[in-house]
Amino acid sequence: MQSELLIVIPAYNEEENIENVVTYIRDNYAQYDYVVVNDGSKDRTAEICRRKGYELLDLPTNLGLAGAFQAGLKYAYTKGYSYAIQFDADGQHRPEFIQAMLDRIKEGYDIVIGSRFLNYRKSKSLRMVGSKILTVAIKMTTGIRVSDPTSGMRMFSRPMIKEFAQNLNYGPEPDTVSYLLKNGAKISEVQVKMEERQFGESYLNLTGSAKYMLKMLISILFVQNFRKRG
Amino acid sequence: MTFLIRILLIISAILMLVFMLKRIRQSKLKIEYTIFWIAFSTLLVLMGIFPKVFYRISGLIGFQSPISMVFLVIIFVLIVKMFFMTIQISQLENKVDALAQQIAIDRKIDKDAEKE
Repeated sequence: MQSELLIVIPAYNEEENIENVVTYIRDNYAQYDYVVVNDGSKDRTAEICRRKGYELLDLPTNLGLAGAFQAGLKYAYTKGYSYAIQFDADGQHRPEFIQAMLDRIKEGYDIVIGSRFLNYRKSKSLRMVGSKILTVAIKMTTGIRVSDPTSGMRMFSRPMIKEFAQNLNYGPEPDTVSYLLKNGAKISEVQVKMEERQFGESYLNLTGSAKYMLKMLISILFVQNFRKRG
Repeated sequence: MTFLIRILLIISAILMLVFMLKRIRQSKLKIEYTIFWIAFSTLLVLMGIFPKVFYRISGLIGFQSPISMVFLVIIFVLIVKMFFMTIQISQLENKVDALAQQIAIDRKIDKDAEKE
């Protein structure tokens, strides 16, 4: 029987992590459905998935996180799932928090974010300064406080799945969250814990992070004001 | 810079911005592609509003007249942009080729599987 929740796991060059992450979910959280979206990885990610018999959307070329995640949500929409959650393939996210997020979204929210900082303060690293700036930017433009805007663990309701699946400029990033909030989407946060990524490197180095921040700030503070929904 | 050129700079920058934002509003343009144009038109507006700063810079570098520096800056920025766009287009074409080929191969494999 099909579950009401689909776990979307975008993976780009995650041969070292993918097996641990997906096998753990498959063996211990069989009540949820999952799908790995291989984003045109250059390493053995797709091969591992096929050998292990994972549910797999195998993109023949690299689309970037936004395109890969959209592929997952298109699949969720076509198959009629009520909820979908974005879940990292690098082992940062822990599936034991999915149930709490699912319970929360059923109270009638559109988006539920798994937040690291709902009850805990942010540490004083450069990364957290970036997170703080984005929180302030979103608060300024929408009036709503999102404690962990860069958290990659976000759950979406059926109407959101449809919007993400069918539209342009719906990347799974803070600016989309800000835009949806501004247009009346209901959001809630659930406290979660996250691991450090287990192997490999995050794609955000210092210049990458600076570019990311610039893009997010221009987008949140300026561009989103001119968008029209629907 | 004459008053007319300053006004021209500002108006063209604003028109550029309006056009880009309209495309976003119609969901016909990805946001990441507008970042360059927003930055570029901001630069043009700054040039139009605070020409004194650019007079000083062009004097320091040794231009005959500030306006030739304005032209040079604009041409330089656009050439660099064009250079990166050429690379981008080539990558896109590669991707489309790869996609079409992959689809054709997958179809053939599917058909062969049906036959057996």
